[in-house]
Amino acid sequence: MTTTSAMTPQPVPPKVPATENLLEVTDLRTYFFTRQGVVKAVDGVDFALKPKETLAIVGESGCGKSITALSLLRLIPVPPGRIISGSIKLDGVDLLGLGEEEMRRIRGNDISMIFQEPMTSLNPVMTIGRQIAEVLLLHQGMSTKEAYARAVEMLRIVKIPEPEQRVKEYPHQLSGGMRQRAMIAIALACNPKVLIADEPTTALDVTIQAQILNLIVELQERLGTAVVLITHDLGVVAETAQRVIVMYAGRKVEEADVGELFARPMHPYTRGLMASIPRLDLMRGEEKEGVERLQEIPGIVPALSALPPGCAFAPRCPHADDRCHAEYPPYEQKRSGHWAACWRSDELFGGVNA
Amino acid sequence: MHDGAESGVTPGTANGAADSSPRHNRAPALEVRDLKKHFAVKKGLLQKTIGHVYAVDGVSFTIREGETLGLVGESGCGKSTVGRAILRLVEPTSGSIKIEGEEITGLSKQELRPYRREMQIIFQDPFSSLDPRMSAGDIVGEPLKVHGIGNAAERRERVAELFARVGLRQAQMDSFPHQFSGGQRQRIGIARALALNPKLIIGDEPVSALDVSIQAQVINLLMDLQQERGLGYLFISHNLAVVEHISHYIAVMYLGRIVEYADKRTLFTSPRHPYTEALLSAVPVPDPSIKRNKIVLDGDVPSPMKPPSGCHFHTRCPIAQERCKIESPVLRDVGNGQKVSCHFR
Amino acid sequence: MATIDHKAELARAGAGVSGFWGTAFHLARRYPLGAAGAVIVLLFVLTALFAGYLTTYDPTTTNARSSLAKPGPDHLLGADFMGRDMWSRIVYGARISLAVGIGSTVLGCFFGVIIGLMSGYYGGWLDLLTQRVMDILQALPLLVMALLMAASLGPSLTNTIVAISIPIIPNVARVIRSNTLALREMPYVEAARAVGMSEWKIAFRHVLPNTMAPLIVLATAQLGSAILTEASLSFLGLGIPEPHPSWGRMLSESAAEYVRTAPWLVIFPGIAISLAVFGTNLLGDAVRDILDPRERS
Repeated sequence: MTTTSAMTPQPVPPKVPATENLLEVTDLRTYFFTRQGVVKAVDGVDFALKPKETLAIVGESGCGKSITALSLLRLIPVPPGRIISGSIKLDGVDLLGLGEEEMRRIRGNDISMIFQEPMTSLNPVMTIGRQIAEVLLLHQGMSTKEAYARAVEMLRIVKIPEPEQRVKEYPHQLSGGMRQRAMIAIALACNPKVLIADEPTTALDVTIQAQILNLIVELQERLGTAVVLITHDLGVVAETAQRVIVMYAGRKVEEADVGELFARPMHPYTRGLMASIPRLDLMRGEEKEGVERLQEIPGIVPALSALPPGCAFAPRCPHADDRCHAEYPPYEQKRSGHWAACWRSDELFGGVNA
Repeated sequence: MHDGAESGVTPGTANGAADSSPRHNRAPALEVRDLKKHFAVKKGLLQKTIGHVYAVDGVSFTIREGETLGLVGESGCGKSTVGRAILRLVEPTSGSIKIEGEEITGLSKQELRPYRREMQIIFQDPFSSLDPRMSAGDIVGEPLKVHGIGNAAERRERVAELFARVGLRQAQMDSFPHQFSGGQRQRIGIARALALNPKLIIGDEPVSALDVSIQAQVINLLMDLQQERGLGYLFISHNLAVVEHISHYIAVMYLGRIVEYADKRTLFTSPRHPYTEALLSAVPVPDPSIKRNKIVLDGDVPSPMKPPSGCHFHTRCPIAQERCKIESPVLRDVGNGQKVSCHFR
Repeated sequence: MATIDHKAELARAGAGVSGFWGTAFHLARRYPLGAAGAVIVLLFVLTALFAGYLTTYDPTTTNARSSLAKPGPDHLLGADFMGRDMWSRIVYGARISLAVGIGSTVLGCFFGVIIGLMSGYYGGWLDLLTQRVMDILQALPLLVMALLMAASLGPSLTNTIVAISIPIIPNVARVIRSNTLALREMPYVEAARAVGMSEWKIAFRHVLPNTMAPLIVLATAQLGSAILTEASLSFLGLGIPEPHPSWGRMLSESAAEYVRTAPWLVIFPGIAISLAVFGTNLLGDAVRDILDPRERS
């Protein structure tokens, strides 16, 4: 086991031949410079995404998952934010080296994004059709007529009833679920290689959430889009993703295939998260005596501008020892394809060092 | 209405989901009968009423001391309005609300004041539910001040106790809301709700805006407080897993009406109403090894301004038939205190 | 990728700033124009306060011998046709401008806040009624109103302040009303209601304090325009009566007759007015930027 300190570059996780990866992010660091000091919102994150794959990035608010997503599209507000290092390679081209004009050609065309709140991300004074057509006119050089025809087709693909009618309507005339469908239609209009979905169903009701998740999975299979799913909901992750990254305080703390992660979480934070969600146990036929207390993770997420030395999770971790408080643990492979950053995971959870 | 006497069909949704355990002799903390709240929709210069939103359309239930009723449903089903109507933050259109047996509908603001000490609310958004210009101590102490309880020093002491009880440091009493994290702010909101020692607390999505790890802390706190003080909770939420965890009884609402009511165990193990089934099946389960056949409902919740005829759910119901479009099903007892409003279940 | 200087970035963001002077210094660096405005306004206020120490002549004493004296050692900025010292008159004029500016802004804000709060908080017919009254107030031309007031009550300092405060009322009332409309739906207001707090107490304890930021922004913006309005009214002879030294009146007395022969009589009051208004406007813009919620982190 190597004892890398927090400042030295950490080993790069699962490396597959570069040609297989659609998107490769290496050592991404996005910092914010504020009155409170340097906020290391994303601090050395690497990941790779294969075509058609769904990668989930999970974590709680402030863990850096949304900033990671925005960094991929270079949509960080400057100032106060800055991407200070790293590379984001889409099909081998480093997006961080592109000019603003070239970057604009990527956004909405090769990589597109859907947001949590469909109402605020749609333009209220433009019809849905116009908003879909606009991306097509911008990126695909279609004629207006073709673009509108394609807009109707897109609405049909996202299963909006009466697309010929709806294409002429304004966002406020649609329900929340319909708006999210329209957002997806806009995002997928140009057949992007990567779709970034930032909490796509958080603002929706459960029955609508089920519809939208089904839709995303179905369209992904049909169109071959790779998806980066940003969410805080482990239930959504379990049902949609193939691979999962768990982030805490700006860094990756664990990464594995979804089945492996849920079956054998190796990081105490991931374990804490899983234990603290109330589950529909009765439905699974498990009965508990009376009403049981949930397991809680004590304390609060540390401020990103004043991270403790050592492991950022140590102050809340039930297993933390002196070393955890002093040194940041290396991000290493604990089992095949299962990476985590924890000093004690092997002894506690019985990992086999690769 | 007593158990036993109430079997088979009871007329109208008015005869609500309640009175399922007769073991207490005292009057229940809260008793709601046939509560209705219709909002007039106005338009134009002369504010002409062009229609009504049937936000709450005949809802009945009972909450006893130390018990939690979970009120679940999707946005627009009227669950929040129920809570606000009980607190008289909106004026109910009709129906009866009894706090420990005393009718409070129709009371003037002045007459209502003593009852306000018996029921308090915890809001969803920990950021907008605290006045940003007041210190945390003043926020928690305000209910005491309003009701003229104690002098300044006594109030401060009581606030200090409350702070300690909800897990905040007393040194934080002079800090302002923006200096707290989301979870801590929700604790301040809970301390404020406890200040007057109420019998009933209405939680309007009290943990929905919190991160999972913090959510667990707050749920545990609420459950501990209930055990200590015998609080009755009306727990309004869209999150079925959270509701399952905290509630003793659960009422499922759809478009202003309760469609199913049962104790927790019954509701989650043998749901009867097709809407309850769909809701349960739609919740993503954080366990990839479980593969379920999901019931995914089509379409959206209809507008409460134009609720569908007959059974409100018939537009999305997988088992709907002609009869459902015409005849509104009553909420009837199907045994074991479970009540369902469906023609076929 | 360009290397990023952490120290420089942090300094710009204002890390490590503390205390009143530290904050003031940081804000001055971030908003240099606002700082300039603040300095001008501060000078303006100091001039008004210590007018007696800054001048040797009485601003109202006439002296036939120095009539139309050019700027020079005797009279720093010259003297007007009645031989009154221009420097003294301009320095004392700052008092009038400041008194009218602050007086009318405070008066206008006071009534504007009360009306806006009531109309926004209680709504209903009260709101409808006050909104229409505000429309009427805003539609009345200021000059006509000032003329009416001067004609009926006679020109005086108080009447000028009152006249200028009237158009401020609807501006303030509108902003406060729209803020109140948003604030009264806030959960913390509902929480106070759920506790049984009376409505007017909620309005004053929970709503009013939270409208202070937009009010301060609006008030600083109104200050400059009030000063300018005073000058215009006095220029037309509707504002401050003789013998008080008002910049606007000083302009009007000399503009037509002496602009060619004794230009200092026009130039210096003109500069004084512009500087005062410019300063308050610069400060007002900076205050708006600082207090704007989007700017706050």
